[in-house]
Amino acid sequence: MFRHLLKLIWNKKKHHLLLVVEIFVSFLVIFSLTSMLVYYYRNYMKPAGIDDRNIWQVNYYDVTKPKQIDSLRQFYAMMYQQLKNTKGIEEVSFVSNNTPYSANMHRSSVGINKRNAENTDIYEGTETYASLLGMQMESGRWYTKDDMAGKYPPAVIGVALKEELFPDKNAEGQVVKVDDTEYKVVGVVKEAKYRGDFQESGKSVFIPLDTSSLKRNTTILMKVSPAVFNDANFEGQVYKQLVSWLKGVNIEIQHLDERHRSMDRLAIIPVIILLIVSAFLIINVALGTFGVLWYNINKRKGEIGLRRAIGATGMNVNQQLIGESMVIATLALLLGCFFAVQFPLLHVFDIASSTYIIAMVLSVLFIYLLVLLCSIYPGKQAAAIFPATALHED
Amino acid sequence: MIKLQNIEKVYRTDTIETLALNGINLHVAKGEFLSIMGPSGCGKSTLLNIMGLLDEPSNGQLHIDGHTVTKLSDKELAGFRNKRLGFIFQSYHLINDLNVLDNVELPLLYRKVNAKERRRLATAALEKVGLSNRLRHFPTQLSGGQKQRVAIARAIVGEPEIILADEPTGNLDSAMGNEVMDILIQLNQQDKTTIVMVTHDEQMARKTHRLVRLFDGAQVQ
Repeated sequence: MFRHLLKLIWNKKKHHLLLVVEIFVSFLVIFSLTSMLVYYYRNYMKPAGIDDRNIWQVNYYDVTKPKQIDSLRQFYAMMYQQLKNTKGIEEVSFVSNNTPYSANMHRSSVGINKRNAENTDIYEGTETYASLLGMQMESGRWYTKDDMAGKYPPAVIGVALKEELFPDKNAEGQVVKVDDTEYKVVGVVKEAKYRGDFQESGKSVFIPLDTSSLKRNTTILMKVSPAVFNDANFEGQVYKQLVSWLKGVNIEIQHLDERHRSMDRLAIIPVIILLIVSAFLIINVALGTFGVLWYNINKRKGEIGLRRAIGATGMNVNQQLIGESMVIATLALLLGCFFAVQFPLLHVFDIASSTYIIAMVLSVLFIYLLVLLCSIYPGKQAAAIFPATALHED
Repeated sequence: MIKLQNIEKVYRTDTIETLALNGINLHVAKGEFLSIMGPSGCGKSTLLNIMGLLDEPSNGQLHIDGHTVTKLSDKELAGFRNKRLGFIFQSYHLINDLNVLDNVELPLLYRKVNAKERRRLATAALEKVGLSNRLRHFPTQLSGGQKQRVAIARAIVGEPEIILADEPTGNLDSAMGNEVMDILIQLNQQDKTTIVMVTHDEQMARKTHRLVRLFDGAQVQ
């Protein structure tokens, strides 16, 4: 029977072309949407790796005054101490501006010998960086001031980078090149979702921040006690203190959890756009399938009557019409899958192949379900046609 | 073979009740070639549809080969039509999107017959009606006579005991009509197939074993 249906549809291919194209386009859009949803869901289910509660982020811009390197280091050491001694502030770290949930990026190739991990995020921060953000170590330890005295400055790498550079051995003690400087790996940190709950953590390396670098040292992260986190007076006091130290510099204090929420909202926008486009296309496919079947019933009453006369039951007629819709959907889906399968094959957007494959399966099931639902009623109507009436009306 | 007892058919709408068949009693013997004649609207096709289990009588009993078929379920009726009845229609009712061979194979699709066997039976049926050279043609590429021969092949492919033909020569010129009639006579004589034919053509009706005339839903001869 399947061959018979295929033959019927193939011989009427011009008639069904529009619906095939409509289902094909809908499949591609739904595939994009489900790929995104599956990608987001899988990331969402992973641990955050960062505790963003009670953290302030202080950005300071226009640091234009050149100072002696040593005095700058002393200045920031004093600042750290003063802030740390302030009641209500639990921890402080000077970091590069690519903080968690920030749009800023510092990416480069990180390598060892001839093996390079492209597009690795490079984060810089002082020794308190990991403890302030609640980051957990996979192995080894975070760097300390003592590590600075060694032949190579220390670095901590993320699990994904470790898997790429050192899949079969310990990373600790290995030397990696970051931006033309060699670093010794002292630990591997668990992945942290720097770009929000829905984005992948990616490959990462953490290196010490040189507080004398005016280019890099632009941000302070402060962990404060829950009691003062939303206390405007306390925030004002800290702000005044910072202004007194960083004269003539624009200072802005942000709450890290708000940045987190804002980043997540930003990630949802393309999903909403795709949802709207998908909804529009789904309605089109539903109306198209329903319309074609309805037209078929009225146009093919004679054929329906004939099939009943030569031995088809009402159920057979129903199944045939549903089957025809499914064959049309299958043709469109074969074409759609041909294009969709290029994504995992070509590693588009550097997303895991399994994400695309799950999305493909879900999209195919969704289209089949949609076509099935739109075929049930017209199929039932066709099955209910009395054979003599159908033959007479043709 | 076919026995109709007091068959009545009433078509009802909200306001009108039309008596299409009134107390028809008819017996068609096995191997008989019966023709039914009468003016338009006298109930010929309705009677044929009832005999073909395509329509239900409002009253009366229908027996085919000893089976009372008026109380069968949809599935049983479909099975009965598929195995024991063959239909030929005035307007052929061929599916234009399928070629000749696929059209003839259609009744076998509703039986458990494999593709190879379907092909063999359909080819044999088409050879019987002289169309073995048109297997891959589509209905739109055939003449009226050829179309009707395809319809006959489709009716006989399942080797039914009864063929019900509703004005099989109605759309054909006399030459083609005679060709089709000859095939039907041959089927009746050689295969002993019981044939009931509705016709307007007195000349064709005379070629059959027996003629039944209807008028206003009642049997007058």
